[in-house]
Amino acid sequence: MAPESTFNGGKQADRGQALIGRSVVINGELNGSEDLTIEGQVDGKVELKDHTLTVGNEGRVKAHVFAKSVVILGELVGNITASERVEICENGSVDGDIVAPRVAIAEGAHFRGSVDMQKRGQSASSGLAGTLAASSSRATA
Amino acid sequence: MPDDERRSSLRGWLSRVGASLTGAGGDVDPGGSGGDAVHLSKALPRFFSAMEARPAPVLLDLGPVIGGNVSLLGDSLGCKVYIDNIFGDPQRASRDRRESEDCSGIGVELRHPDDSIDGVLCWDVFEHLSQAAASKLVLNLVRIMKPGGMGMAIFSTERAPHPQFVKYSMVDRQHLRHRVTRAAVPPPRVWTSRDVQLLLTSFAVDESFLLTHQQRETLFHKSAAAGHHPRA
Repeated sequence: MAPESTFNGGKQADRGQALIGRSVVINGELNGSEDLTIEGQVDGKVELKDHTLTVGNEGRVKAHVFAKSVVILGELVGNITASERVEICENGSVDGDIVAPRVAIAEGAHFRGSVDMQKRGQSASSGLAGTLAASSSRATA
Repeated sequence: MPDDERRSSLRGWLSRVGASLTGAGGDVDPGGSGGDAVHLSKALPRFFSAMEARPAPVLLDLGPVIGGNVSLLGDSLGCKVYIDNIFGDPQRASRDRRESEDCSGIGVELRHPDDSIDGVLCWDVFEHLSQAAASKLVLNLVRIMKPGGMGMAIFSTERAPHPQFVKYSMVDRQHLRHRVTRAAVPPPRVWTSRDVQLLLTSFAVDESFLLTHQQRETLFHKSAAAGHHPRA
């Protein structure tokens, strides 16, 4: 399953953002070219190249995630590769490795894994090297 | 006690509390926390300098995840940071330990490849481990650290007045905020200088600082000659 733009089983959230509702379960691959909020359950892979993935309070994601920005309020198990920013909010939970130039982990968040903020060209192991933002200004919560 | 004497005594006590909160004696409060104490660290700036000298360093933090620490390390060093909070929920670990008086159940096995870590942060770790578990952890650190890799450890030199765990939050490259969390039982060990020396015999101890707030900060490194990796 590789929906484009409009997510099968989803609906439009506020401000025109795509939403996977809390009763929706998806097994497979999600590709999109718009921001997406997941309040349901997704197992597989999520790819939103130039957009933001938000795992909502009710969201349960078991997937390797590729996106511009990722915001986690619910649970995510899997690796995250973001070209801009990853934010784990209070009560958010991540078990996996993060590769991103900016990472913010709030007080009360759960995190288990590694955070790779190595600058462009530094990391031999990171597959994100080509997509890391050049920006050196990094502000985190 | 006469009123004047009582007032004087109270003023003295308030003065001491105030000095403690503002970190007198070399400690400052640049963050103006108004609660958790902020202390000057002697080891932290040296740890940063050592890591800066290493290209794309890989760090391991054995404490609970502190978002500000991850951000500061990443921003300053452009590094990769592993968070291996070996206690999980410290209060739960503490309760578990009280039941068994045995730290053998705490996961001091570190699942990292040999010679893969440039720097290790061991704060509020050893206090809560038995001698056997602490020694096992050190052997694991010897195995996973790269030759020349540096570790920074903090040891308490006096028993805490209350059962507690401490989260160390970097205010900047020189200051640590000590965020005290109540726990179910007191820390089981106080580490003397001799204890620390014995614990770290597998490493070369670079510097050890006994600070005004009764904590010892120790910097150690794995010597380049340490080629073999004793299995824990």
